[in-house]
Amino acid sequence: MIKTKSLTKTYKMGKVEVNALCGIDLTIERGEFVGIMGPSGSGKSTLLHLLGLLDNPTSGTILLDNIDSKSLSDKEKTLFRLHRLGYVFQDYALVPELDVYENVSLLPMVRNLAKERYQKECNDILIKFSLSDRANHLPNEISGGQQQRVAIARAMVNRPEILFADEPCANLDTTNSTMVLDLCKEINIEMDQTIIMVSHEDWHLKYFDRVIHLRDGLIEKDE
Amino acid sequence: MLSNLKVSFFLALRSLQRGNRGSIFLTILIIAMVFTNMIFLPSIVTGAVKNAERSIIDYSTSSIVIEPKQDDEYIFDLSDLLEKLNKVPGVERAAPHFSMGSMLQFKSKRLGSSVTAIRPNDERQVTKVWTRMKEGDYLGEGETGQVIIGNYVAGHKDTSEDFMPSLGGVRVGDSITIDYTNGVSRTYRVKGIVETQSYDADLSVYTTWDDMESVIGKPIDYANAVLVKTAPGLKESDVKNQIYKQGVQEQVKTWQDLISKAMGKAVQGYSIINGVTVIVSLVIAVVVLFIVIMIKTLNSRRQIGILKAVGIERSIIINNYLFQVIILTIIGTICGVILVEALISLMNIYPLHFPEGDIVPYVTPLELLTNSLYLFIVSAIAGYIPAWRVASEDILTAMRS
Repeated sequence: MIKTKSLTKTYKMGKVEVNALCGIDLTIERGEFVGIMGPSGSGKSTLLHLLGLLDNPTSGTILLDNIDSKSLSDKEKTLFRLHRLGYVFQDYALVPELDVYENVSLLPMVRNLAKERYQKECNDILIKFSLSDRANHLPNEISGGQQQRVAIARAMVNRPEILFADEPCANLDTTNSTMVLDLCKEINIEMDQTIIMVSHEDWHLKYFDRVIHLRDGLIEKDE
Repeated sequence: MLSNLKVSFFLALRSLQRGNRGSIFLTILIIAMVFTNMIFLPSIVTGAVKNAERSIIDYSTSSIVIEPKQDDEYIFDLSDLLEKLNKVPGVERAAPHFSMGSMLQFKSKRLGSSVTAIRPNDERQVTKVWTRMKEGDYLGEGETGQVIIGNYVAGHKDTSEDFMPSLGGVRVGDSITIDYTNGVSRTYRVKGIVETQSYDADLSVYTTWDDMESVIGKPIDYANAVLVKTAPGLKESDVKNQIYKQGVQEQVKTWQDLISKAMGKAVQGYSIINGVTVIVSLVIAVVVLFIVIMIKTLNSRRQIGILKAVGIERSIIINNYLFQVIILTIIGTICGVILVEALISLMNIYPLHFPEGDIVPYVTPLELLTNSLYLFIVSAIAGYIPAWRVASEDILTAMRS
């Protein structure tokens, strides 16, 4: 499903070049729940951004379902992300002026799906994520845990092939973190959803099928 | 494309509905004020020009003026010409004017002026001087020994109140002596005083044609000018052409012809003032909207980055801000139109008083439409540029902001 070969990313910080990734080779299969772990500066988020087509590698290749990311134009990448990928960010990243239902239905609306169809799917997913009673609330009117569930619902309503989660529990307490991780695991098992999650919490390990440990831009361990 | 616009509009609407009410209110207020500024001062200037035009038509030239042939001092064969003119389609009435230089005297005050002979019945159909009697009455057909004089000629007892030489406070019923340039001297009773706020009429002395014939000592079949009133709704230039087609050899000038010479430069100057006002207002609108949208987009940089990250096209994001500006401009313009109309209505009741007459603002629906269009165009540009700049940012740079 995802295959990378000699993936590198170098940032320029003024005159200094920082090698964030120094040649990553990995393959991720459909339905895997992969955790990317490692210390700060190890390249976790950079790898996630490259795999999620949010950034371009300095060298190397990324194949998503055998499609080389380099062959896609910016617009094609945008459409690829819209139709085939899902994202959950550390700080929920909901549109503050849209209520819970509108946040969840935004992407199907952009995809120009029939209103009747996405209305049902959004309502179903809100029920599934125990958010139906918060459907008309604005993001600032609900808790952090609920906001993150809305963010996952927003990503999942599109039925993405891969769900990317960048430290989704970083701003949550243990109770809410557990709730979010349980939800991800449930999605992974029930829907055979591929999930790639960046985390630095050791207690998250039990949720992952596979853990890729990064250090200094290289895979230290893949287990 | 249409579905993308739908999403942009939806996002714009929600942003305005649920965004900062204070900043939205202030933006609308500024747009309304800019629109008012764009319209109001030019409307006063245009009102002044229209007032001057109206004043010239009503009290001085009427619709068309027939003047002597190029090298002639008078229009000759007047009765034939009048008969011809009154038959021209579109001509309501023609009224001749004959003027003679004179020296007016009231008590010890002497004032040089010309006396204009008119045919009152014809004149009433051609100019509106008769409607502007400050005191006394208008001349009657065939009357002799009576004159009507302009307000400025009559003047005030306290001459410091006059801003040009006068007879020092003549009132209706007073007698004035007129020494004509042909040596005839007559004493007249002032029958009425005219106040039109048109220099031409207010500086004139009018007597009847019959009286002037007695001064000359023979029938007058010539004139300095013939004023022609055209039927309402007709273009003066069309009637002018009709007059020429009837074989009239004299110079035929519409009021527009006369104004273009007399007021052309002034109108050009007013147009420059109006243009500068509109441009300055538009620049203010551009700057304000640019700043508003710039602040909005800079505050939303991270959100814009995230929207792009989850697969929302750049055009949707840009159009979202464009729609916000357009909606704000529509509301602001509507408020501006209401404000302008309210001011115009108020100033129709309480006009601005100027020596040239009462001035009311003059705005045509076309001007409202054109200025609204200008405002929309500059608003769209002012909204587009900052939105485009932020939406064009690299996703991760925007997300990290």
